[in-house]
Amino acid sequence: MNPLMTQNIRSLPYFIPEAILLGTLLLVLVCDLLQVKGKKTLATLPVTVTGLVACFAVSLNFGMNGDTASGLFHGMITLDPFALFFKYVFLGSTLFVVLMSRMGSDIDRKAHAEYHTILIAITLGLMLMAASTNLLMVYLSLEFVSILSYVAAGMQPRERRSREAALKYVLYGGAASAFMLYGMSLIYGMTGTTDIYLIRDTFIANSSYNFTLLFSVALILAGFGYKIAAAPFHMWAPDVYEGSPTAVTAFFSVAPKAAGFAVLIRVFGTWFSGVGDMGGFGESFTHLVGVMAIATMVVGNFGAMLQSNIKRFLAYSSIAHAGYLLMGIAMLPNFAEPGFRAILLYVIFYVFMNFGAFFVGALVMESTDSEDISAFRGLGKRNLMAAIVMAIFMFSLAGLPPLAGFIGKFYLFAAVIQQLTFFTLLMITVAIITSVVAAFYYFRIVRAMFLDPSTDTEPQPTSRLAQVMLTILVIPTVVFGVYWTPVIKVVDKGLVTHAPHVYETQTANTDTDQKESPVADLKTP
Amino acid sequence: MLANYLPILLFLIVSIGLGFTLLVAGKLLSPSKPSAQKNSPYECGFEAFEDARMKFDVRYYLVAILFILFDLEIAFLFPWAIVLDDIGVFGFLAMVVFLLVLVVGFIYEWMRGALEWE
Repeated sequence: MNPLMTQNIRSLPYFIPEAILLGTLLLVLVCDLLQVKGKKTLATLPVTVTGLVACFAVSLNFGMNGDTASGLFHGMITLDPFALFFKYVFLGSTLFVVLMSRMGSDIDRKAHAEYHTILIAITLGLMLMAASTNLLMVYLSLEFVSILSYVAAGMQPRERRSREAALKYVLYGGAASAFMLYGMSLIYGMTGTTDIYLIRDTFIANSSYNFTLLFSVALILAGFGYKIAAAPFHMWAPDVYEGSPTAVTAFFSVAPKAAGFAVLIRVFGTWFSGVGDMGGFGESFTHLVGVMAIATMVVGNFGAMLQSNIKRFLAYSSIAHAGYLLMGIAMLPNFAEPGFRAILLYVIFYVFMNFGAFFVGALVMESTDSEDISAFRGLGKRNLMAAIVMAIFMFSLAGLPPLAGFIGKFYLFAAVIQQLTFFTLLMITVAIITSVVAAFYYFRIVRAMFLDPSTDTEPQPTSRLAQVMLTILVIPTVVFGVYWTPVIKVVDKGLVTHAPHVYETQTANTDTDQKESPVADLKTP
Repeated sequence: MLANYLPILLFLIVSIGLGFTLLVAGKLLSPSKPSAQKNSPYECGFEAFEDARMKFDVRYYLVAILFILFDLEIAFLFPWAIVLDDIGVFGFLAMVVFLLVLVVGFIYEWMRGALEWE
């Protein structure tokens, strides 16, 4: 058989998680159709949850067995511990959001099947994003996620704000993609390949300072920066977050952001970490990303201070957190490893505390029918458990010990401070000052819940499912703040990306013709 | 490296310069005697019936998007059909999976009434 074909067939077993998601997606659509025809009433929720859990189980199985492979489908994607780590994050997030929107009422019950389809498809795209090892695949999966996100933002077509959010998202996304594609095309023009490992080899071979390289990296950063909502590409975030259904907003603020960082680490980490200074390029890169990080921290934190809408407030808070994480990327040319470890650690903590904040926010918005921060007033009297839990999430997001958010920030700042230059000191200073600002506005919510006078003291109990979900979110936020060794272990496992040029499976496989170098692979007609 | 882009820079300069020069030359050299008849919009010699900026029915976009979707599918099918002898059963099955996904989507839009105008 044709060797090109053989490689595709050999890649298939490593594609099972994605295939399961694809199957679930089709199944949900068919279930929805049967509902439409009125023959039978099939709930799509169990199908969706089963599919996601099955996918998670299979991915976990790959992770447990250390069964990984790189260079799948001719170097398009890889299945390394790094990709698996993010797959867990995405699947967990989607599962949570599916359950969360079950409780909310902002998405039409009739549209739930469509909504589940879109969520599953976004997850599929996110998983491909984290696994991409080729610029083409990076672009395709990013666009896959983006296009479906536009639809998800407009899931309430009767709401004017939802439509506005979808349209704004499309316009920003289109522009950002165009910039990113231009940057990628310049890289392709310089190196003659789209495989990120081969591109790295070219960089090592002619390591000289190069304005075109910096320019194209900046353009690509525009595309990735848009995905993680980093300043100056953050403008879409507050409006989109405000207009989207609350559960979708919670999803946007966690999963695509994590995927954006996965791609940032994968692409720039492969290209520039351990390459050396490349004749001044490393320093320029640090400055480029560092300035972006500083701008993001300032815009996010000061922006959040001025908001009165809960969703906009959380949007700015998530922008601010992207700023802290970007500091880890900025340190990449010289000290990649601690920065990456801090980012992955932070992503885990962030999933719990941010989902928690959104979840309580959604409960409050649902019960008071108001999106204003004043809706939190008197929550301590109305629902003590929700108020205490929200206070924990707020303190954790602010980075107070002994909560998970503090540990995350501590590792990030420690990663930056490893190299003492004027610029890193500047970054750290801004980070600390903006953290103080952050503490101020997070405390505002806590004050509203417990101290502000409120006329409404009627108790509003939460449902049993909501209580369970809140417990699941709050326990890690507290426990990981004190005992985070297991998380570090998971993160260290997840930090492993595959060395370039190993176009073979990592399991005991002695088949020699598998060792095709990517160069030979690409040259095969 | 950057020197390689010199032709592009020259191209940019020449094209912008040429366009600008021609516009300015036209403005300066041509006689300009506007009159009410000359300035009025017309279609094929008639008076304009209505404003050209009219609203399109949003359903055109749905039809257009669906058309593009299935048009692209053909773009995949042609090269596949040509090399079918070389790619064997695996290539055939790969396309079957692709078409299956597409057909489910097609049935979905059909039964959801996306293909009906009213």
